[in-house]
Amino acid sequence: MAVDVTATYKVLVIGDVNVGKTCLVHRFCDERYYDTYISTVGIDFKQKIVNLDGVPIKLQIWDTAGEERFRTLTTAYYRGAQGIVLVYDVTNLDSFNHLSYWLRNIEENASPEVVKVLAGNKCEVNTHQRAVDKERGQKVILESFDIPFFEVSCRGDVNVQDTFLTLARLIRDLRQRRASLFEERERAAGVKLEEQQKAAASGSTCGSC
Amino acid sequence: RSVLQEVMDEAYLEYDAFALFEGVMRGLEQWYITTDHCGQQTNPRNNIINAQPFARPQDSVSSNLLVQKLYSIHDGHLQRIDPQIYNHLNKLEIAPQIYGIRWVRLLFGREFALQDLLMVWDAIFADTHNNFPLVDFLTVAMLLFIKEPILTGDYTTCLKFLMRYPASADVQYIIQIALHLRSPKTYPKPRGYSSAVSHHVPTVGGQPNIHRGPQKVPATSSIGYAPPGSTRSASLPRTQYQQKTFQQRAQSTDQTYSGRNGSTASLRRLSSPNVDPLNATAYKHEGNNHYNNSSNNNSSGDDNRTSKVVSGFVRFKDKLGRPKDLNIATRGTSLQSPPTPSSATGGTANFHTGRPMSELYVVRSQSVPLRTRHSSGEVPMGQNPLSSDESEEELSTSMTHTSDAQHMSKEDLCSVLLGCSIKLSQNYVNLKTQLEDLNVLTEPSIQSSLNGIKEVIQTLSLGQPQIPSSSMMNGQQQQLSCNNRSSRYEGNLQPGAHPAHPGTTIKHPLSDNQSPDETLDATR
Repeated sequence: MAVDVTATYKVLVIGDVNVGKTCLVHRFCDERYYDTYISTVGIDFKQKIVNLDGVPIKLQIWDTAGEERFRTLTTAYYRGAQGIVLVYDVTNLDSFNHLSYWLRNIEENASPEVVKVLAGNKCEVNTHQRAVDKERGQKVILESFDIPFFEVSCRGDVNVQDTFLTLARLIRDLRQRRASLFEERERAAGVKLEEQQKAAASGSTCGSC
Repeated sequence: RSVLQEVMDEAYLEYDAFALFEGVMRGLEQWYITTDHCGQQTNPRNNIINAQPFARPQDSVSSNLLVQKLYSIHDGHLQRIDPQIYNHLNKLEIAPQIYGIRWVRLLFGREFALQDLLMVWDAIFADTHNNFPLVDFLTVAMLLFIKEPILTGDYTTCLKFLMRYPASADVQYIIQIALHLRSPKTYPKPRGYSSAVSHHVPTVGGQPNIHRGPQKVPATSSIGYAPPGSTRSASLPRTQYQQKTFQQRAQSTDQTYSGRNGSTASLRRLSSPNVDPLNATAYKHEGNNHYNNSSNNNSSGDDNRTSKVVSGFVRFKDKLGRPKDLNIATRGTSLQSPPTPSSATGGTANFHTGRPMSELYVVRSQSVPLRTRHSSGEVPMGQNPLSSDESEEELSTSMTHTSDAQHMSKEDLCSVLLGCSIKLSQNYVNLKTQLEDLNVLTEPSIQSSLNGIKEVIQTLSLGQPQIPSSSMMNGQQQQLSCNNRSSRYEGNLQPGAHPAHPGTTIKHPLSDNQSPDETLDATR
């Protein structure tokens, strides 16, 4: 634990029931795949330190319950979330169609700056088991929402790391942008202040003349 | 047929199970009902009008009964009982929903190992009210139990303790606190607990884990603290974790207990298929050095380390438990409370056990132990009214360096087995003479039990080197048909059998398989 973590990002994993949210989190955090299904009740919490281009960053991952009856409760968890992994199941068309519901949910509850990534889980399945093609997923995503999209497989460990790392990178970029924006403003304000002071100084000299 | 036999008729097991489930869910239903607001357009103006000044955002979601309940526990009971925890959790902005939903909805089903959970549920269901009022107090008691780490820890540590309740939790102590909080007049304050000051140091803290294998002392810096085995995932079956962490656990155990020369564990079984379950026998917990005098001690009844036994509990095999927990079939067909740790070892759970837990009562007594596996010759299945007389069931055996079993040679393992059988036969002789003195030796139940012990001794003395000693001892002494027991027991049979807490390893086979939360201290 001697790693100096520079930042902690809170990431929320949401999506329909049984799309594999918990599996995704476990695959990412434990690098393991569990074939058993135990439904998440309320929320679960995991943490992983990732190396983001040489900088260790702690990802605090909140794994939510997908059941409809838990949705109301999930809203309380959005608070403070900087990133959201929205998951659907490529073998389950409903879970794909519900994406708009989840996005609306995000809009209503999360901070407007929250970074989103879409993950189509279980992509290791045969084409005939698929309900959502990759192309279709991409198309819809491109048309409707401007968020990065990955087809992932927890069983086959496809793109799982990429999904979370992309999200982490986006959060970092956003924060840096915000920070630099802030600095710029500061600098601008500073410059203005200096000018004012100069003006005031020159004015006073003028006045003294 | 007696009424009891009628009531306990195995043919209606499924009906009974359903009826019980329905009864439980009747009380729980309200906590599952939610109204889904998210899809609807809520008028933000309404929220503003109804908003309380300084309301936290989560307060506005109060239409939900469960959330209301959790806040009533939080703002009501917790604030009153322990303002320190209350304020700290508020400061960290850890809302009660975060941990409480799972705790309450599943009646703590994922916070405790099944063995412990049954105790908790007994306490909950024994309450006179049908909406489980004890749940509130159990929630508070569980928070009190982890007060120390909560108060000293940072946000992450807090969450870790709340979301993965420490495996070392002393469930009896928690129940005692909860009962005390619920009705202070009926239930005295458990020892070690005072409402004003602290208290009970949780086992997560320095004590070797009493119920669930060894724990490490938390580092003083809360950030670096991630002891293996202290936490477990609530959402994953333990077996998976067990496999994963077994190696690591074995190592840590070796370190923890390297100084120990040997430990004694007392194996006990209580199998009473036809014994009146309502007269569940009180079971004495023996210090390891006194097992030779077990009968005498048992009759004295003044030992405050008494723990009550619930005999003939629910049939375990294939009936209960989460998908991966079915191995509980291997742990025994009877249930008894975890041993009460003695204060002699600085036990952390110094609660008052002299008081009988009247809330614990038997659910079903039809579970005939699979005892005939090794003693089928002498004990025909189905017609052996095994007595629950504690003295004859008291098997003591010494397990020396069991955690080193993996690193030991075949010869060593054999000698361990042999040593066990010798110890056991000594006790057997003692037991027999004492039973003779009591003139009860002729009773068929006692005879068959003694025969069973004899069988165990014989089997042990035949110890096969290729069989891991741990699984062998457990499996055979408990005489159960087990599937895939060996891996489970290996992780469990460390010298965690603390001398003063005999029997711990046997009675909590699952308990040690807790997952160290690897991800929390992942440094990748």
